[in-house]
Amino acid sequence: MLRLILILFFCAVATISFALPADSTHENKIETDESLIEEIVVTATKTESKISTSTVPLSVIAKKYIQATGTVKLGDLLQEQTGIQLTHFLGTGVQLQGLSAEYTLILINGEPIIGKNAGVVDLSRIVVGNIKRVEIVKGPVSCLYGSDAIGGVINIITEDIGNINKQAELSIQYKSPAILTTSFIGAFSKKKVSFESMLVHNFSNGYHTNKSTIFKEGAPYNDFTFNNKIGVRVNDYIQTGIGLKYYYSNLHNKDNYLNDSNVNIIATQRDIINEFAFSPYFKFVKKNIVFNLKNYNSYYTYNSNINGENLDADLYVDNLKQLLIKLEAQLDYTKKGHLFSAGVGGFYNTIKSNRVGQFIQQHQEYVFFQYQYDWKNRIIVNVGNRSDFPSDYKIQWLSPKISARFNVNDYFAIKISGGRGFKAPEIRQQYLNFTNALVNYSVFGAEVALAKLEELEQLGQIQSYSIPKEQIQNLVPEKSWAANAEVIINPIPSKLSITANYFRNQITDLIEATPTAIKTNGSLIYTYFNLNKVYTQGVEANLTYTIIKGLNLSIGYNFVEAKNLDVLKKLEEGKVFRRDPVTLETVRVTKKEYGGLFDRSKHSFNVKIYYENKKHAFNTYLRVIYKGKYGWTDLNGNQILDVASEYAKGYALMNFSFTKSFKDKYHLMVGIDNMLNTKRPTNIPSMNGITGLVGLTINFLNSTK
Amino acid sequence: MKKLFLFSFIAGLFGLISCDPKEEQIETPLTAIIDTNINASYSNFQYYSLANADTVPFSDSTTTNWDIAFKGTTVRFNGGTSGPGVAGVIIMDTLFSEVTTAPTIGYTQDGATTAIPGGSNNGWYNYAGPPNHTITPLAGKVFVIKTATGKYAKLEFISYYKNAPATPDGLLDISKYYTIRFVYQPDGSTNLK
Repeated sequence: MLRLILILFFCAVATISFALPADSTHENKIETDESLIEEIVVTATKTESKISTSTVPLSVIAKKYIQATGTVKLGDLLQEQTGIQLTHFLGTGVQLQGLSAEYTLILINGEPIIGKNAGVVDLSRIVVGNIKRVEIVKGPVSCLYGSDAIGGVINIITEDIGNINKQAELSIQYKSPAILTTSFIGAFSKKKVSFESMLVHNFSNGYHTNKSTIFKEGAPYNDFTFNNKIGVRVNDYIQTGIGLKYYYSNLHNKDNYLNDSNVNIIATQRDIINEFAFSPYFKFVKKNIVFNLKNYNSYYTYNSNINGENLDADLYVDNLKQLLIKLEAQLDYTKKGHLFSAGVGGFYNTIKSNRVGQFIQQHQEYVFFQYQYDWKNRIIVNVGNRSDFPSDYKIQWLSPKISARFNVNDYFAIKISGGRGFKAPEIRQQYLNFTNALVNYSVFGAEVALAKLEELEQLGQIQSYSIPKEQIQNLVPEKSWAANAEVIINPIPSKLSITANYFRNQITDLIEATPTAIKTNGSLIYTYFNLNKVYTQGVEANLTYTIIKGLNLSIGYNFVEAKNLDVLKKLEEGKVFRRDPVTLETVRVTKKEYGGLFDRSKHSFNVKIYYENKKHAFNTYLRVIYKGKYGWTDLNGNQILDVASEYAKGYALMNFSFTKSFKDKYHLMVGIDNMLNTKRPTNIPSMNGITGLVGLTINFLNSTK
Repeated sequence: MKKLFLFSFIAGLFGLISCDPKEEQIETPLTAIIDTNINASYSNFQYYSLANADTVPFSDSTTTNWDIAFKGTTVRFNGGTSGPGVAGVIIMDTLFSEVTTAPTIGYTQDGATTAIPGGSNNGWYNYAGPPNHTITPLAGKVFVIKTATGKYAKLEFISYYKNAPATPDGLLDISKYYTIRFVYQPDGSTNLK
């Protein structure tokens, strides 16, 4: 820890002292200061609005910072942000406000990404290539977006053509030990028509962190992202267009497996994803009316199989096909500080998977409204609600929210919000029909469990029930109440800003797989039930300071406490125990020993220093991220985090990048990620120590109107 | 089969005092017995007598010579549908040392479901699932037992693996070898101190 602080301190001093003389030479040069043009955001209100009017916790990652990091995948970018923690179980997920990754809604231009694994969209599917900015709203936003927006929403806004006439850009980047990224971005606009295209290809041969195995911790893969946008400005009022996206990824790995007769065989796992999205839109703007009609169609396929050498049948097969068709209309009306929005929409979703067995069709309709009043930019109040009418869990769900902002003066502002979030039961929780013959257990979704159990009972395969089968019910959504209170202090307006947000989320009816019956062959059958209650609370604080022009410092700190309320109750009753593995003595666990939910760092912080020198056309960006110790796994069988050995050690990452531009045409980027050479072979196998980055971007064409 | 008789220091002192011939009426202190490696990997149940702290041959399975029987993770008691005895169990969430008296009523016997239900976190064990599939006895589950012949005992499960390793690995260690700790009251009273 001390070493980290020292390194950080020296880097800061070096960057600042290096920056000072250079900057003083062009101090008097008149330039448009980007910080003075106020940024427009869209996620928090689903309408274009200024950051200074936002009533909820909101942060934006701007393009220049995204580019300066040299990151390719969204996950790498997000893990450097305050209050965001990555999870690495079945793909990369994001925790917000201490809530698990399945409670974060990820959107691209306001539309959802389909194809989840265990409720989580794998962030490694998303490249940052043409991202204009990333907007992160924390706290529930189900009032606008419906299901999954409990912890918050991460909305990726891709570049629009704006005032570019023609653009063609090619980049090549190599990241050690084995990832090569090639991307091409092209755009042109002529009169009323604009076209934009991005093609990104990532290729990796994979790498070992543990040389003794054939399994590569960094799996070999290659993926393509092909994004296109066509826009037509029909007249002064009407815009229309189509977005087209294709994504393909192919990941493969080899490993040793034991077959039924305990013979070691080499097997290859191959995961292939295809994703296609087609999204036409229509927009009408006249005076104070904005009308949006959006259609979003997405088709996703996933195929995974493990096939052993010299074996006829696959050892493991998993496949999924999902189709989503969504239509939404929204009308916004603004007048003298009043904003009124109303929307109506619906979606149709189908899933076919070998794990589900049957073909699933769902549809859901929803309406939402929002009213915001802005009194002289001093007091802003926003109320809204969304009602969802799902076809298969038979409950209409309301997600109200109220939020307010008080701009006391230039130096001080307060934001307060409260509302509900919800998460609909997932397909697997409702319809899963999965039996793992190797490990001898079955999991049935709540909708199909009763029929499956009765079927097995008639075959005489059920030995006993641990939960009476009459208790199996259709699942209800998981739902939350949340409150956020943020203070914003600007000791030096537009130079120094400090924010601190207190949050609390309480989720009830958490869905969990629970042993329901035991088969005569001893194997267990699990079914999903609405069971638990959890809460998370904490504080997120951020400081941003423009030390001198071009030199920005930001410091973020996040404190999270996340606990299961049912466990707390049992602890109070003295009903939680553990056995000392050595003495085999049983002791009662105290409330103080309970470390809360697994996989969350109580403390985390980051320090970032960005320096940009326009005269010499270069920038440097240093980021230090620290994640404190977090619960790793239950070792003493009492299901909770309560002893030191159940924690994984905290870690620090230090990433540095330097970009130099030549003649506005060539941009050379070099970087070192993970300079502290942090490795966590057990907990995060893909964390591979120090990594070098080198990239070149060439602008062939760049003409603005 | 290895047997460990655990006398606490204080129990030892009481034992010395009770040697005085005039004090013969003083209760004999009970002994907590830890029995390791009770093999439950046979195709038949492994029958066990708490009174004798020893296994009972299969040929005695229809008698009241046994109290408790093990096969894989399934546990049966000599009563109800499992045997001719009167054995049953009450499951308590507490510490072994805190159970000092056995209740006289409320014992569950084996029936359509076993008195100790099967399944992870449901009866006596937790099943960790992948990757190691380790079975760990639940800490703080004390099983107060009425034996086949109507005596009382308290019992806890300590390990499911051969030689009760400190940190068992479901894949590497040999399973279906029970280690149990119990106190048996031979005098028929409910005292389990």
